[in-house]
Amino acid sequence: MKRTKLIIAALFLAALFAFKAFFPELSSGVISRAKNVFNWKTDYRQVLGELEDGIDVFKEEVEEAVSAGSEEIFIPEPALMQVEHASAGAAELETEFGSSEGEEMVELPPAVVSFLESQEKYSEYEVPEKASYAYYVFKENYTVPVEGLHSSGFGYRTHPIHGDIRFHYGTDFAAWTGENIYAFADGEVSFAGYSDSYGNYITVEHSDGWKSLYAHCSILYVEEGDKVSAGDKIALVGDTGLVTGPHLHFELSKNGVHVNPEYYVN
Amino acid sequence: MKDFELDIKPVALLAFALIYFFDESGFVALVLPAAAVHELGHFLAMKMGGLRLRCLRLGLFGPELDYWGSLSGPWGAAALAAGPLAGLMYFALCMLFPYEYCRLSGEMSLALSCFNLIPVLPLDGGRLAQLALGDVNFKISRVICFLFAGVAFVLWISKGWFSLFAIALWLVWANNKNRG
Repeated sequence: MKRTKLIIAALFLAALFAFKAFFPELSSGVISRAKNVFNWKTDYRQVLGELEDGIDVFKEEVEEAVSAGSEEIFIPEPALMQVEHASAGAAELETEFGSSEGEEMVELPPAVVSFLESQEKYSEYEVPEKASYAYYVFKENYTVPVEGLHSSGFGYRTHPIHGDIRFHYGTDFAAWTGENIYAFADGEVSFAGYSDSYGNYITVEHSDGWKSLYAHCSILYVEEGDKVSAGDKIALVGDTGLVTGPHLHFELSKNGVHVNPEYYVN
Repeated sequence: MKDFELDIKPVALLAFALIYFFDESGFVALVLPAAAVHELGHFLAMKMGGLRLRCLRLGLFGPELDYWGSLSGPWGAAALAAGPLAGLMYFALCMLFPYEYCRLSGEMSLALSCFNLIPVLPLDGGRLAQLALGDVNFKISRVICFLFAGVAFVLWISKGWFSLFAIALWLVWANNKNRG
């Protein structure tokens, strides 16, 4: 009887050992999930609220797709397949609102409208100099940088750590440590390193003055100077830097001005 | 060395599996050689002192050597002290090499040895004190344990070192169980 218990325990040990050895990324994902459960700072109301919102958004999108019969409505899918949908949407907008050379400002997609509505309560705050609420068409193929729901958006918000109202220059995507981060579009890595607030982060320069930034990563897979294509795995989600938990902080800028990533990715 | 056994408690394996899995900093790999050296020190000293050893028990809270008879006199003291001493020698040896794994393991061993020298039952230090003084005043040991737990608690709140506090809690419990 005791011998059996011992064998079972030994098998359990061997299984965990093998799992950790062959799937180190999955293991860190499991560990960070478990740590989150026991984290006494977890705001369960917020987490469950986000889950509700995510479900509502998904339901709305499914209903729209069904009623419109259109294939171009965005429905969450594995990251790489979104390259087609996103660029198809961008091309449609271009033809609808007139095409271009250089920058053009177009302001109507629903993501833009809902964002502007949500920022109305902060209307007494000026939009900071290095940011813009305008919508610029992104002409190349682009893809969602991580598979996760966005938890905290661009624009004014109550800061999760400092508690006051600050401008958020990017979008946060809730994801577990170890999940893949993909390059938003083709480009060249202009920085891959560490800072105290961003943690491990990468910036990629694309064409036409576009730049993307991916922060709080656990592991970086690229270096300065590397060329990347849309959808290439460039890093893993982590909780480095100034964070309350693991997530991807994603920024998008056009000619040095931060724009709302949710116009392109949601 | 007849009749010497290895007795592994299944619960210990389970606990070790979980600790190993959730260990993100790799301290398990650092502590294992330190713990092994410590037990080896006890083992060799006991053998040299002629003590008959029964088994090495790997229990929930760590390895223990089980023996016939009792530890008394200078050889008994040597056997008890040999564990921490071996740990300290391992520390000294490790610091000679410039490899991070080596140094860290040595430092873990230093911590383990110093911890074991705290004069509180059931630690080696407590047993040594018991040998030397005839008996250990339980009230004093309890105060020491609570003080240690208090310091560990403050370090947990201020620096986030939860494991030290967990160890301190274990000590409070084990000391209470081991009153005499």
